[in-house]
Amino acid sequence: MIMGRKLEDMHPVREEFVRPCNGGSETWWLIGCALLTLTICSLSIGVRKANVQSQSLHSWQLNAFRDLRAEERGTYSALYTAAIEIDDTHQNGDGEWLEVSDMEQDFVPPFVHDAAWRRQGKLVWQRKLLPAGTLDMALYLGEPQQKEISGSFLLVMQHSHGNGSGHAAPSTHPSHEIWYSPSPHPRLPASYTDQALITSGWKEVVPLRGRDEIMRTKGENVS
Amino acid sequence: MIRIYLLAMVLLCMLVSPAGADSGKRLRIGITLHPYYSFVVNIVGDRAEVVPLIGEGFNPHNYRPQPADIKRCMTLDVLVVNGIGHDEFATEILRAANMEGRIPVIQSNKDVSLIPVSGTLDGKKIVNPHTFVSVTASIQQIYTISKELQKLDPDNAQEYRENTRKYVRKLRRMKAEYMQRVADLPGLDFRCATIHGGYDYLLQEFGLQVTAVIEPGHGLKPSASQLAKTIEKIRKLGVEVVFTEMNFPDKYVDTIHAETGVRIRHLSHLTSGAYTADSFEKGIRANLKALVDALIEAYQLRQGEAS
Repeated sequence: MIMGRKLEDMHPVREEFVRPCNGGSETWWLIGCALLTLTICSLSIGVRKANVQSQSLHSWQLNAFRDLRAEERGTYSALYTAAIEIDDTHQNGDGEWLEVSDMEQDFVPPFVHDAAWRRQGKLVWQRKLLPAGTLDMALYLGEPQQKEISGSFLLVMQHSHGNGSGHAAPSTHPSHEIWYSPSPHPRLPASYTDQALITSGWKEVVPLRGRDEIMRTKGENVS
Repeated sequence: MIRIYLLAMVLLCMLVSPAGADSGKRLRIGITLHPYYSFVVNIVGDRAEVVPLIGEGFNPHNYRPQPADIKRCMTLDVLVVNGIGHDEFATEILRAANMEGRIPVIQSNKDVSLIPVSGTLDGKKIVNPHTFVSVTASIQQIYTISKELQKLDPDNAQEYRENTRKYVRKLRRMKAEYMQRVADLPGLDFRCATIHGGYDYLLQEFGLQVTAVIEPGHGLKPSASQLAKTIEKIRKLGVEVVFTEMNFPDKYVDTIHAETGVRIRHLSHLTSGAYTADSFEKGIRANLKALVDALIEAYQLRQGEAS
């Protein structure tokens, strides 16, 4: 009592609820943010994977990177580069398709009989020309002498001579395709359309090219 | 008389000046890695100027762009890149120079058939970006670069086409020299390991595969447990030779040698030294020689063991 008055009357007690400052809500906010980040990342990875999976193959195609044996992949890579040279000579030369013997003498793999050729199944190559209307075709068939190491390869070179106006007429069909058969003596169809080759047991070999890898890793379309 | 003399001089100048100079300025072609300098110089000859995007003596794997690179990039008409590894700095430089989309970029590997890194510890198929450490995959790139340059510089297209053929033939003959040296070796079961996955394209030229790769990723040092696994794999698979990088001594290669007794030989990654027209030929020749020597040595050792 102070001068007849109670202390409570002089200073009335006021009750107020004060939350403890222990960072409890911040923890929940942090966990929420982490979960949100994880969800966004997971969705982004999922979308990215979907792009990669979009490069799916047909049942009549093989992926050189994934489906061929190392020895066969060596033959395929060499044949793929040789096709560029065969095409270049055909377009910019006198319109001839290179002979197997010419490429052998010029050390062009897989036609040259070198150490790689011996290790990759000793394929015997032959060229077949098929002038058919406006489409000029050359086939290079390679059959293995060691069937336990490699199957057979068929390089189909084609060139449109639309309107008979020279070698460089535009065509929607690729200038070359490479086909594979596990048989050492594969059956060759009467005509060399995609359907005829598929029916005869051949499968088209599709490479994983640099442009595919750039699309997969950077999402850029290379022309 | 003076008029006739001046006219004759003008006509003489027109006759001796190169065709490219007549049709305007020479292309300034940027390149990112050493092999591409050699490829492009051999394609264009003196009809265009070839400019390395970064200076000599830098490691392209961890290169950080410098202000001088950005300035240099702004003077280019076209840029030639590997595009699938090793020259990521090119994108950064193009962006920093505000040249992205303003000059054509030739993706040398766009049509190369890629192969996986073989001999990885986990057996996963990872894309191998070292297409320039070989002859055949390089030839494919030389054709791609040449075709694109022919489109960009049609006045000199014929010259580029002829130069390309000559250069490709020269490279192929060089490879044939070394293939000839191993022509008489019977089918040898040659087992080798490499320090990184950079030599698959080169070994593929000989029909060989890498048995084991030591680095878990390009430029990553193996941990103690990974090294132990590699040593076990080398012993188990009977690896005879480890190809390591020239001028890059690594302690763990010595450890592998001490533990297994495997022979150590050197190959080059071809991305160092001076930018010269023949640096690719010299580098790849040294690699072909190292590989052929190792094959002959392995054969002779087998012969010695057998007798």
